[in-house]
Amino acid sequence: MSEQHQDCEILAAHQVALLAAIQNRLIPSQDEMPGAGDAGCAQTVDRFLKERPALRRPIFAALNAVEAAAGECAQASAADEASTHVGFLALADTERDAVLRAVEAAQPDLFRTLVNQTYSAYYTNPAVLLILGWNPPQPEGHPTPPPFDEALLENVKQRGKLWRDA
Amino acid sequence: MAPTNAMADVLIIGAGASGAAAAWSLASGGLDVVCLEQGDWVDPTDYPHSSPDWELHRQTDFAKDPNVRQRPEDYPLNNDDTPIVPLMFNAVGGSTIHWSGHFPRFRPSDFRVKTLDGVADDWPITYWDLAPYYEQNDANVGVSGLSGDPANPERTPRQTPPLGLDTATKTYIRGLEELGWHWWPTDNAIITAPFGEGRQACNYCGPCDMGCPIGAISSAHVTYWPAALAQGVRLITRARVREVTVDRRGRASGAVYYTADGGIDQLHARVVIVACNGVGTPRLLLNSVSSLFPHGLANSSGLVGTNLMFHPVTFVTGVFSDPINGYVGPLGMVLHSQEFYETDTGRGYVRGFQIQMGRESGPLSTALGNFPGEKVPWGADHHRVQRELSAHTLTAAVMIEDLPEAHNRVEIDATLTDSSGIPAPRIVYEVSENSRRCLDYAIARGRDLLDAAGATQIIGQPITRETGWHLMGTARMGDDPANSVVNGHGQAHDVPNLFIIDGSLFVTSAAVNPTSTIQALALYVSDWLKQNFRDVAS
Ligand SMILES: Cc1cc2nc3c(=O)[nH]c(=O)nc-3n(C[C@H](O)[C@H](O)[C@H](O)COP(=O)(O)OP(=O)(O)OC[C@H]3O[C@@H](n4cnc5c(N)ncnc54)[C@H](O)[C@@H]3O)c2cc1C
Repeated sequence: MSEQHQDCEILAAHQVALLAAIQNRLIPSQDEMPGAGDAGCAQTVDRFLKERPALRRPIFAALNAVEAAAGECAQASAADEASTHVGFLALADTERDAVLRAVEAAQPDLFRTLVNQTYSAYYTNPAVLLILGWNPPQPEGHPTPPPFDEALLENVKQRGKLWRDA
Repeated sequence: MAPTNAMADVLIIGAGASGAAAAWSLASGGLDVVCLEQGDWVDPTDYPHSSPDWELHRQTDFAKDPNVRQRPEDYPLNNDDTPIVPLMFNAVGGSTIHWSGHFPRFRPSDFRVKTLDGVADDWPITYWDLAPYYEQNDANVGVSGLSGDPANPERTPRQTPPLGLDTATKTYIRGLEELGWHWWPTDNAIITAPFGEGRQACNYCGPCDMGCPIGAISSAHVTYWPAALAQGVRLITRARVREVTVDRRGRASGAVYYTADGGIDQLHARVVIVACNGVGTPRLLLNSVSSLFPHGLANSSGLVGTNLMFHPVTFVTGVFSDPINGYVGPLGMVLHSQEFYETDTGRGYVRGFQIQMGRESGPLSTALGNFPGEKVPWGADHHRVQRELSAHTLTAAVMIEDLPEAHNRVEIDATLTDSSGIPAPRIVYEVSENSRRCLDYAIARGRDLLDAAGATQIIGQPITRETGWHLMGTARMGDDPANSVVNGHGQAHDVPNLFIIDGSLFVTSAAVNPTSTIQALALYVSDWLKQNFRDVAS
């Protein structure tokens, strides 16, 4: 268990850190909006993985793909140095974005899962929804709008019968 | 309560929109009715609408696609060979648990497409045969709207007033009036004022597609089922029918089903009604193989499962610079336009389409592009685009008439089964050339509308996959047993005490949502059956 993040049951600690870092590039912090990783979306995705095992394979594969692409990116930028494994976490933000774009182009389906699950975690996060001013639809609903005004239908009514006899 | 192995007058399989209406009607006529339903009652506390993660449930336990939802009572579908996937819900109330409640009627011309337009077939019944049942159904379920639409025959005043005049509605009206098109407040099976017991008027919360926790939307579990149970109907839930059984004379004798605890039980009835929807009904008939019916029950024509129709749908979204707050109010909206409903061959296709004004949903659905059709980009632009779209979009759904084609079909998959081991359906469907031309024309009109309404950007999709809400045509009505599965009373040509009452009956699909017609048909068939029960049952 020592390998696993204390809040997570499916992802190992290094995967949680990697996922959070990726998520902070997918939905970065800006003004009052937190980055997705900082908002705890990696932990939320871990819950999704627990509840929906079918998501595990694509998410694990996506994380591996990002790590592999990060290694290639680091090697390319340090071509003459001895090649040592450098992961996504060691890269600067612009390099991280380049890595993510490369994975998106090479493995669009995997990447889509990563993005969809990150969006799903972010836009159901109570703190994020509070900032956006979103309450759940019930029990209050929304204020009832003014009643429909039949006078608006005058032009349509004047056209007369519009259906065919049969 | 009578034991389940007693002989019932009528066994109804499926407790959705049609099964519920028939159960009420037949029991009101004094018949002993029992209904088998594979799902259960939806616990009102299960609806996600009060939870911060409500939008997540669109992807999980309240997803429209049973293959995504994967509740134990759902059956899987092989959708590898279809660009449109069937959507449904399996519970008491059936797919009306999370429908949008749009409740238009077919027009008289929809029953006469062969005579009028030279395509497909005429129905064996007319609009005027169904008209009293449309009225009866509206009175039973509760409809909001306004009578007087010049694009449809007259109808009585609606049970409750139309939905209110919010910003989204006013924005659409601006565009429609500018273009001079027909429009009218849609009949919605959503109550806007007190109606029925234990139901509240709509409070404009928004996501009808995940069910209505306050009973404002007229789903069958809050309309017909309480009334049917009060009439003595026995509803057995978590009862999954494997096959309709037949006796030595080739008459339907009942059904074999799996019980909640995994056991097998059998029920006998004088008359059997199948109400499992346009996919579930052909699946059950094709699975009901016997020495007398080696190709499936009631299938001497070979037509069971064929002529599957959806309504191909696409969404055209407009982005507006001012806030529209489209998330306020029922997702299905208040207006429709039938300007392009009837055939005009100058447009390059036959038959027509309806434009339904649609809204927006919550922030997750915006981010995922569920309605705009394009996902909000990740990265530095994410928050800006999300802000520009949220509360600033409207999506017109263009829904076209689908014509029947024998090669579009429901068949039994060779290997796939549900959790009880019952063979599952495989869908084989392609969008016809006529439909493609109609869709192209309809998308262009959707763009015209949003443009006239003031959209600054318009996003259109060629066709949308998760739109198989309407399942029709797979056991169609007709006078000729070689060319249809049931007659004009829903009675199987091959098996006189077997009836079908759901969308499978449809000869053609019209270009409007089907459920008011499905329920009117269920009441029409039930009325005939009540009057002829003695003959049919003996
Ligand atoms: C998301 C969504 C939105 C929709 N919006 C609209 C709308 O706005 N307007 C409109 O007119 N229509 C709409 N529809 C369609 C509408 O819900 C259906 O037309 C209607 O419910 C069909 O009624 P039915 O009785 O034929 O089948 P259903 O309501 O689907 O009921 C069939 C029932 O049969 C049961 N069943 C199936 N097989 C078996 C078996 N082997 N054993 C036991 N039970 C079985 C199922 O569990 C189910 O409960 C929508 C549908 C969806 C999914």
